[in-house]
Amino acid sequence: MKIKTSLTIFISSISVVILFFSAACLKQTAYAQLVIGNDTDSLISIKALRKLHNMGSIEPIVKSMVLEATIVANDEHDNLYKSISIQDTSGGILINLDGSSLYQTYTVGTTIRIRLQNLFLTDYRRMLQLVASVDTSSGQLVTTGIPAPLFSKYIKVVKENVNIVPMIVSYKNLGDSLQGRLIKISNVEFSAADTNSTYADKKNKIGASKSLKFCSGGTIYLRTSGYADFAGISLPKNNGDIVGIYSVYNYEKQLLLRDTSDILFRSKRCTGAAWLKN
Amino acid sequence: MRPISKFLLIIFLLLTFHSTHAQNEEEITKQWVYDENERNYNWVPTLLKSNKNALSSISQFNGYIFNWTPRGQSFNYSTIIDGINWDSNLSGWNASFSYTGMYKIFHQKNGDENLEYSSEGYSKNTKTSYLTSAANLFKRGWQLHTAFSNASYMNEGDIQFSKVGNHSEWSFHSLLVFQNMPNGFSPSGFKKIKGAALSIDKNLKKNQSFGVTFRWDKAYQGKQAPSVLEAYKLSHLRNYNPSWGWREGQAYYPNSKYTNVPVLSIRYEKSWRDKAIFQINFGLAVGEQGSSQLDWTSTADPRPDYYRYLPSYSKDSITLNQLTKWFETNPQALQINFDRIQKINSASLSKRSFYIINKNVSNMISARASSIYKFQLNNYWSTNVGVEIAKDKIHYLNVVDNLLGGQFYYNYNGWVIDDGLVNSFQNNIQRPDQKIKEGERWGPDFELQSMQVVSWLQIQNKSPRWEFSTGLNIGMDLFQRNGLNQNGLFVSNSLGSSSIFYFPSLGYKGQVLYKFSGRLYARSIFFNQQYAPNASAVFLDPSLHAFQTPFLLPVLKNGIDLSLYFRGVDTKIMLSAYFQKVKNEAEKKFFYHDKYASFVYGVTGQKESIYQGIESSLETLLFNLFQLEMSFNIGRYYISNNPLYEILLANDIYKVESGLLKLKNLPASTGPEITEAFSIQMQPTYSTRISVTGIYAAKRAISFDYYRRSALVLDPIVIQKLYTKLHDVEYLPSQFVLNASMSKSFSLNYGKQKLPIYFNFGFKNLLGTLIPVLVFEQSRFDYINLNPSKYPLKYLYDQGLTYTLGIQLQIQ
Repeated sequence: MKIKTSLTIFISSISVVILFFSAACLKQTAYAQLVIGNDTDSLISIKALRKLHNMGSIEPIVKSMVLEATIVANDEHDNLYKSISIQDTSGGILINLDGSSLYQTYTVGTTIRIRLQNLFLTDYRRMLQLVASVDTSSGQLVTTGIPAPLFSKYIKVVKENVNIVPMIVSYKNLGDSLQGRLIKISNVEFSAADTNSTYADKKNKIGASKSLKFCSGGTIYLRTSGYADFAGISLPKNNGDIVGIYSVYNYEKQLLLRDTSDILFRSKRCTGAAWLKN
Repeated sequence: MRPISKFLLIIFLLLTFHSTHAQNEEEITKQWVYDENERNYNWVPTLLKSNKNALSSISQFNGYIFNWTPRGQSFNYSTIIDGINWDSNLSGWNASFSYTGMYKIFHQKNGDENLEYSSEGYSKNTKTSYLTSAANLFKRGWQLHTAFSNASYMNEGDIQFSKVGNHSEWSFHSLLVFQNMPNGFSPSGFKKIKGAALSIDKNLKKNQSFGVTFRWDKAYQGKQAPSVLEAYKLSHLRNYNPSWGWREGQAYYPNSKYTNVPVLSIRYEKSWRDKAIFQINFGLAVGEQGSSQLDWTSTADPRPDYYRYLPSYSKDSITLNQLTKWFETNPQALQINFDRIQKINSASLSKRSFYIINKNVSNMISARASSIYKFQLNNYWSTNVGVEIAKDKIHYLNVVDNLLGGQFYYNYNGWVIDDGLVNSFQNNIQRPDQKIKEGERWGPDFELQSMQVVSWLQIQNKSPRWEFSTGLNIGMDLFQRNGLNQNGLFVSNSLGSSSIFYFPSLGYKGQVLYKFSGRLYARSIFFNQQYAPNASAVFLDPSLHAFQTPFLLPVLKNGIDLSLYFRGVDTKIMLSAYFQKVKNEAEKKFFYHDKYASFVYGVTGQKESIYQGIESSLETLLFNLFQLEMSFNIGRYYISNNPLYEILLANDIYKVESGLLKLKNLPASTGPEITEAFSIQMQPTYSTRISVTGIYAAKRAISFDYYRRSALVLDPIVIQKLYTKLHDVEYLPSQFVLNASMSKSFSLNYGKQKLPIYFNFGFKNLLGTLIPVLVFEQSRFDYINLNPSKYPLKYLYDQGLTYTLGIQLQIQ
């Protein structure tokens, strides 16, 4: 009888404990909880966004706005550093992202939606850019891109493999409204003095600007970073078309190459009056 | 089967499938191994069982969270199983992991030996445990056991069967073990263990016996990774683990380790009327151990707690606040995003994987033989002599375990700086630009072989007042590397067999014991030992080349131990003072050096350390009701010289730095230098036991980095505050932990049989103290600006308050 009582107590207590612990077992701990946010901001075009900026000043974006645009250049060949270039039908702009190997996530031809609230509009030597923070305490403008952990907060991929056709632009039409856009210029060639040099100084990691001359007259500079994987390659000697991101350095018109495959120089070098004026 | 038995079996099975189990595996393995004397179910061990070393008992069972290792020396343990030491001189093989969860297959032959004369063998380490799996030592019958706890939410069960024969019959002992912890229920992720063991022993004619044990443990478990304090604070979790992530809505744990090594051992013994005993043992272990983790190349660092991703890296307060808020409100941002990783791999034009799950594999074969001859000359003199032979061969390789959405992985060495060297990054220059598919080998591919032969002799003289003993050991260790591929960095020194390296070892020890009375005696042990290095110390980086490590000298240890013992009926007291000097210690490390913008090898040599202190312990019975055990230990473990060092560029082994490290008087151990522990146990009835254990630990040094403390770095510093900050080693705050447990046993009558059931409920860390188990300085340091907080300390914390319920049913 005594044994039976002990057994009953024992079994009852075990049953209670099992129930207690089973409930605990069913609950996955705080190690595993997924939180997903919402996106209800209003859409703005790049052109409208660019209008918010006055050259040389800093504009914090306080309104809830989103931008939808397609990536046209990234850091795949290290000519762009911690930034990507995007464009919509109205214009283009550079976004600074504080991360590496951005091209693996933000491939060319991907349409993204960017939340603009809490970002800043600034310019570097008149080249407009979107950044996450600014610091002027040192007397100079120091900007930081969107930190890598916040990429998913600010940027969402909408569509992939969008076909991008570069805008064909003549020298006379090159202007600030084209900043950050993928453009194509034709009938250009490197100046004869540069044709024996490389895109940049790869050994010492020093960037270079090489003049690209239009056969019809005019010069645009091809800017290449010393870190670009094609920096050590010799410049092509021929004449032809070139695709790149339009940028400026103060009032100097520049083109940023994404890769050497953007250069389509198959024609003979220029001759004629206009060329001689160059 | 009677209904009651059926019911009990159902209860057992229910518990098995809904149960959980606690604690760090190594810790609990040791706990069980050391608690084998009683063979009863004791979740929290009985501390009062007249162990030789009460201190070791408390520290082993409950001091692990403080990394409390007696006398500050954590590197000096060895375990002898059936006369065989399964530890290897080669890395990549963890002998205790090969029987994880299978602790019940072993019996402890005696208490922990601490260099004293032992009839089981020659102990040249500070602490040696002798275990046996002989079947005839186990009780006859079945034993069913299950346990669960909130510590790790693990299902566990084991079934033991023992059949002990008569004088000349066969004896059998078998054990089946399984544990299963599903994903996401503990900080380390998951755990799966399936194990089986069988021991057979047979008594033969003419005082001979023969035994065989076969054990096979297949274990696969997640691993926790340490992180910086900032990440812990952001996560609000004391057990934050940065190494896992989200994949298709499920928690995914790539950090893991596994073992799959069947072990066979054979023993033979012959005795001559207790005058002499001859034992010979053979062992063979063949199988695979390894680990897996996320690996990457030519892409962004995926670790969520990478220093550049944390708020403290931000230069402005706006970003800092944004990031802090983001991490606090989005806990998934503090885990790896495997969906993003898979997207990157699958979206690459060539389908190249930038991220993979890499498996480090150690395919090993270990053979052992040992023999001991014990001879009792007369009542005063006894001796034993032995020889041990160990042969190990481990094949180290990497396997792409998961391509994470990509189709291949380039067989490139990710850390090589390839400026100007076209093929330097090729892991296999004979197959350049090799595209590795899932399940295929990549990276370093090499073998290490070692052979060790040790012989020893011990002599003991016992008289009513005096006991003397002395021992001598002599051995030889051989190492060889065999490269199986030719890498692009070390074309002429990576492929093929290296020359054989020989290292002799030699040592002696002595013991004197004087008995003032039957209860009071004094003992002194003194020793001098020369050790051969292990293979990882012999070669600078065996994964890439066969270069020998600089400063390679035999490690020398000498010391003395003076103890006074009182052994009363109800009270036992021990007082001990010890001193040990270790010379020629070496250390090497592979890390990224900011100043040289390159991976480097840091090599330290001729380091000397001193371990000294006093220990005391007391065991007594209070009011005939409480059993009390107390211990107090105060020591000083410090480096006693400024050792030599070199920094070698990993790319070409070019020496860019050498000189002295300013380590003199810095801590030589991460164990606490002051410990106080107590255990109170009450047994109100024969079947009920309640115990409380408390441990206080103070002066715990963190694990520190040597190379930032070089004279080259420190001497030019003129600001004393900065010098102190960079040179001195941080100590952790003093802490106290309290554990409690209750055991109750029932005895049920089943026919003529009695069925004992053991029931235990235990709490660990009752006060929920936040205790760092591990704290260390990162290898990476800001050698340019000497900012010590750029790469902050990394931590791993104890789990806090946990409870455990265990049940064991015994059918005899």
